[in-house]
Amino acid sequence: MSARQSPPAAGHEWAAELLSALLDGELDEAIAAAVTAHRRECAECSRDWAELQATKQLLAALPAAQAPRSYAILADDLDEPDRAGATFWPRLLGLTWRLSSALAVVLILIGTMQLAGISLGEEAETQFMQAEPQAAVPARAPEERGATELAAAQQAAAPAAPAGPRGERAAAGATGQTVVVEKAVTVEQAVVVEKVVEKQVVAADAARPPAPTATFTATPAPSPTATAPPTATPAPPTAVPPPAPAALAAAPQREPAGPTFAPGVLWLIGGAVVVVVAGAAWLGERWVRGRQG
Amino acid sequence: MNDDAALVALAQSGDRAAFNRLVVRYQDRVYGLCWRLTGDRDTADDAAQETFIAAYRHLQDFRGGSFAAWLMRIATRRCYDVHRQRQRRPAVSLDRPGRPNDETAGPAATLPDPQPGPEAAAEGRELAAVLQAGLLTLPPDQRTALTMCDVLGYDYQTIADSTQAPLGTVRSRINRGRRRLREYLAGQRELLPHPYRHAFSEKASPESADV
Repeated sequence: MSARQSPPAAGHEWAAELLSALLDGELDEAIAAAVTAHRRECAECSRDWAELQATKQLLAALPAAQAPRSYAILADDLDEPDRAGATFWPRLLGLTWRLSSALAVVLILIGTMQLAGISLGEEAETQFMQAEPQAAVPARAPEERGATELAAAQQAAAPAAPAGPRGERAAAGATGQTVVVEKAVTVEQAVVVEKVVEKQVVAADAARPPAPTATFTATPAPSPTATAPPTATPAPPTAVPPPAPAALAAAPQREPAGPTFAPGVLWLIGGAVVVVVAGAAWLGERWVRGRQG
Repeated sequence: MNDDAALVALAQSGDRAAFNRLVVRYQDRVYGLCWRLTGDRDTADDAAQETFIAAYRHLQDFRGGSFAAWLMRIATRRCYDVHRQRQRRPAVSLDRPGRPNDETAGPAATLPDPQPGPEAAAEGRELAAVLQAGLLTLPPDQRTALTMCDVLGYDYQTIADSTQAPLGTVRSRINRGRRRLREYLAGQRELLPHPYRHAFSEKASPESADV
């Protein structure tokens, strides 16, 4: 057979490798004779031979398996849709839920970062405006934040501190919270608001190279030297303090719910919608596959 | 089996009854192979069913040679596919009643026989379980070759055709697989029936398994 068998060197290794084939009667006569000759004079091969034989006998003695049912092809099997059709929907649904899960993660991540980013931005500005140590609150969860800012607004208002802009801002934060709580916002509204915010962001970005506050807050904070963005209202180019409230003030004229709607929340709502889509696709895939058996 | 060729030709021309005669002829062997390869009846049942459906659908791809080898090739592939799927979402069925020849039926198999037969039957069942467990310790290539050879009784050439491996490779897989299984059985001697309890030496040299 193979070149390996032909040398009648009859070494132990060579013979040991052919013991099973000898046992199975799968060797040419001459080779079989040579292996047999070695086996007889080699103690190890004699023992191996006996044990391999016992192993083969045990396997051969296993009860013959009986098919538990008939596998005959029935007429029904012929009527099955072709394979491409049978696999199309499960595949599509499988792809859908996988992709939308990934998308949901991205959206929620962005939303969370934006919410955290707003508080960071405010923090920085407050610190800039008046070096009050208590203003330096760390970024918090969105629900918590509104409350904190509400408190901050009351504090700021009570001692009649000269922090006009700060008061405004805190109020905006407070209203922001109500929106977070009342999540029952129609999709149309959300879209409109998103568009407004987007425009503002785009305008801000166009007007000014990215700054940490602009990238994360999305409530544009044009630098003093920047020209006013087209959609944002009068914020005078020279205005040093926060132009964000001004920009926010512009939005209500277009859409009442708009201005106080934190963009991070939009991302989160989008994420939630996509999660629902993913769940539906996942269930759909299971259902379709289950029906196919 | 020259008879196979005639039936295959008929089946290829659209005669479903002819194909089903082939199914009847091979279904025990296909199921048996699947069972030994996967070690699980339900997996084997699924794989065997899929094997025949796939064979029927791709009958035009069969271009002569050994029909058994072709069928076993499909079955082997199906086994590993189904096995992989099941590992992803394991579904252990405890509710199905045990069937005859059912020594690896899961937890139920370890329960005492409801109808205590002769001692030999229980021993045989235990032995079968040990052998099945031993087969599952082998690498898939060796398991397939050894099962086809020793359990189903196919010759090396059919195994080579079926696994699309050279004859020398088949020889080597069977030799290694059988030696490895021998080692396993030597370690489980107390579970073997009496005549075989002393057939395996306590400590075979570890190298011999890899010769």
